[in-house]
Amino acid sequence: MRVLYKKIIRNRLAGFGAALVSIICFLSLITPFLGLPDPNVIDTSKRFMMPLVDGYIFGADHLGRDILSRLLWGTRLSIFVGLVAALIAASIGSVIGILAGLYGGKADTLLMRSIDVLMAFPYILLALAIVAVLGPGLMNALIAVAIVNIPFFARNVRGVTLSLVQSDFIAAARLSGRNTFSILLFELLPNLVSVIIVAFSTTIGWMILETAGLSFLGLGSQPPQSDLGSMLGEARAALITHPHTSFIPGLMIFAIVMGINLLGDGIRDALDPRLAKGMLRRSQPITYIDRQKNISLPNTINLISVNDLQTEFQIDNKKIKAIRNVSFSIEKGQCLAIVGESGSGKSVTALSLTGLVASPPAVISGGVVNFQNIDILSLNYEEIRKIRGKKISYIFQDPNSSLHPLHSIGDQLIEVMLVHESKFKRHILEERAIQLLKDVMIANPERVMNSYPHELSGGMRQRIGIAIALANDPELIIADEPTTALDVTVQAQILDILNRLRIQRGLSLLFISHDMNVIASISDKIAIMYAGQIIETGPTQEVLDQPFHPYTKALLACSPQIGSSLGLPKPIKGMPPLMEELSEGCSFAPRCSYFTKDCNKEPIVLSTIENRSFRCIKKGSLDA
Amino acid sequence: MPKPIIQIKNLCKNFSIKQASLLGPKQVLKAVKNVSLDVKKGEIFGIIGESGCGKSTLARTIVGIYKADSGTVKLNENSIENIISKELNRTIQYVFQDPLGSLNPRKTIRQNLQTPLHLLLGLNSHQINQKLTEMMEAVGLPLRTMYQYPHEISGGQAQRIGIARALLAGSQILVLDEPVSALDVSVQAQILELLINLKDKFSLTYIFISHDLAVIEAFCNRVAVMYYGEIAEVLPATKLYSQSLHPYTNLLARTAPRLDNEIHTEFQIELPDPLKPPLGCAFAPRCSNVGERCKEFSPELRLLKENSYVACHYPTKQ
Repeated sequence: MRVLYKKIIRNRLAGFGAALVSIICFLSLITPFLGLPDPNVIDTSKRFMMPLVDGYIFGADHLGRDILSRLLWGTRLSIFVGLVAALIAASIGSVIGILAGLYGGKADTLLMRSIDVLMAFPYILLALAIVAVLGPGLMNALIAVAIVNIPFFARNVRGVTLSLVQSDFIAAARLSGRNTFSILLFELLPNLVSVIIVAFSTTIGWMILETAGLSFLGLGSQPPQSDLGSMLGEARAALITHPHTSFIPGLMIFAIVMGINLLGDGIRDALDPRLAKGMLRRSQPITYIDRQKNISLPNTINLISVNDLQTEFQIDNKKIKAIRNVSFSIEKGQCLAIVGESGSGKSVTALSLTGLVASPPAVISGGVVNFQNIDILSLNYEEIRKIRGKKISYIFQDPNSSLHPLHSIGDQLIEVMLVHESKFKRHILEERAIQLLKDVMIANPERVMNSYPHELSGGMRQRIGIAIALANDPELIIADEPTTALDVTVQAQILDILNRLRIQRGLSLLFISHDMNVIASISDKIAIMYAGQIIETGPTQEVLDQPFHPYTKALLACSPQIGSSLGLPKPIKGMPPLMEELSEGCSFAPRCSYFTKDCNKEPIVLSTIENRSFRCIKKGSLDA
Repeated sequence: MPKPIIQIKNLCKNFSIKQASLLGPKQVLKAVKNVSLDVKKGEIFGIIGESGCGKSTLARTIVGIYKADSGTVKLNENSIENIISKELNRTIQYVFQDPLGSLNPRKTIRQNLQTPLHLLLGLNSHQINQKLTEMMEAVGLPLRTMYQYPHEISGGQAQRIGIARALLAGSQILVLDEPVSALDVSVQAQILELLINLKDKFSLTYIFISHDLAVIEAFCNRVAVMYYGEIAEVLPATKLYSQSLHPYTNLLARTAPRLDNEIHTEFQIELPDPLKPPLGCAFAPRCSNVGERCKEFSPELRLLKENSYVACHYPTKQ
């Protein structure tokens, strides 16, 4: 609760809204005790008295009534009506929404179609119709406004309920002995409260406005009772001659509605988990680069060589190192696999190469990415854009989210080519796109060209992902867990396609995976990452046959392999370290079965034996 | 020979899909088709298959989350239709694939865990405390974890909590639906080890669902291979890699990645449309061993060798 309060206050606009609303609410609460003149006493001699004359702070209206008094009493009434209407609409709407979402099927259809009928009428017309049936009066206006707003709540709550009902924790609660009613009360409702509060706080201003509208038309509060709408309505005739009579209540409506809306938006932002860390800032097209030292660029015969790359996340004034001094190189036609568990920094490494890590919060704080003797990290956005997708392209884990759902496969392939070569004619690009689909073994490319992502299977979509990566004839493809979301038979196919393309086209491949078994079949070299560092690297088969780092050895022992008859995989005790609490020495030390005191002394440097290197003081003698 | 603790006979589960057009016929997706299985007490029975093969639907039907359209599930020789739901929940429990998703995000771990103790076993708060303390120790978590919220714990911890929740109901049978698929390998191995220890401690029977052949082979006693809603083969886990009889099991074993392996793959994968089931064997279009009968007659599951049942007209010769 306190956190929520802090979040709202920190947001300046919401804080302003909160202050405004508090002042107005406070004033309307103490109105009876201010000793103001009776708001309904008519004194025609004071007709249209100007403000600040004769003790009339805001002047008097067309019947000589004190405007300040009428304003405060009116505000009190308007806020009360808005609040009650919102409460009614929220309760009835939420109940309808919950029932529709919880029971689904016929109940859902019946309830939601009735709501649709209600929504089919123009908003204010419906309110007018309800008042016309019930007769004018503030109470009836309140009912009308409440009814008109029920659909909004019902729809919002139903949507959230529907997704919650299908979630596993509801099934788990059922298995724990809860019945439907108790699920509603104890499992659903706590998760719906924030949705209802957000809907409530963002609509209450609107409801005050609507009630004022009805009163303005003479259908709400009846004379002599004042609310903000009726004050405006009565002052309408004197708008030109005595503007203060309409200007003052108008300003008050403006202040209330604006205050409530700002506060409501603030509450929404504070309650929305996606905005919890203030992440909704637009990220930069290139990761922010802040390298201290002078950068020297040694010539390389490799296609890409990465030296001492460091990327950190700056969150809440804390610097968290995501990758630490990562170095590797890939020759033309070679496949390097980076293996590691979640949080080891393998994806951040891949994205850092072309500055694709989201900034803020990421900062590349050191290192060189030498691609064909160009330091990629020294390029500006336009230059780096010419490399991304053209010379270096990416394949992502989830082809569902990397393909655009509304464009056909053909259009997406052609678009990728057009970005880099705009002079080609469409029919040439179409031919090239079809050839690309053939290259990734798609059986009927002409038909697939016109298909949309949702019409294809997961394996097909991933092949489209590969085709898009190939579209501009890249030198290097970075594949980030490209088969993790796929079934084994499909995975084998994707691996086969990638391998074949690499050999045919002389492509270089950076293959990222958590699965030792997968990388064994596809990579020439392997780099194993732990806690943001490469802890061992070397030719794949050699490393797998005889690992030099205890973590590599342990990782192999805990990866089950079919047909190995080794029995259950051997777990690694403990958990990976938190990146904000890294110690001086070896990050793996607390989990290592070869641990000695020296492991914690100082940072472990990279040892090299022939074409292999590793960070361990045991120097590779792990047999003991 | 001990009586099976779970007997499944001709189980079918359908889902109705929204009509494609307003006047079109209602479409039915047959997720589980005519499945029969026996699971012995104390066994770890694996179910393997690729996505959409119906393994989760089968599992959820066994524990009563879904209601079967036809066929029976018997636990200790009582049909689950005749068992009142609380008694059913005390007999068989389910561990979800997504460990975090199965915990109510607005409640502490303790609040999440005490529901079955309170509602299924009717314990008082003193007994609940004692039970929770014992269980947290059994699943290897510090007591303070109970006062945390689901978003504050890691995936591995959450899966330990998921297993604890299932065990707290006192049930003898656990259905584990891909319990380690979402976890890193080092944590996966920890959870598998924990499951073995718990099985010995509480004399449990497991149904273990996975898409990972290597895990199934290492962890299970017997395995059912599912394809397209049906059982293709039931065999001892040790035979999974090199002694399977069904061409589909062969294919799975061949394509599963191994450290010393070259990539094996079939050229085209043609999966049947789940809404328009083919006449004969569903695997026929992908099968390397396809014959005449396959396109017309759907094969029945039959005992071919000791402990090996296969639904195939032309099983692989050993």
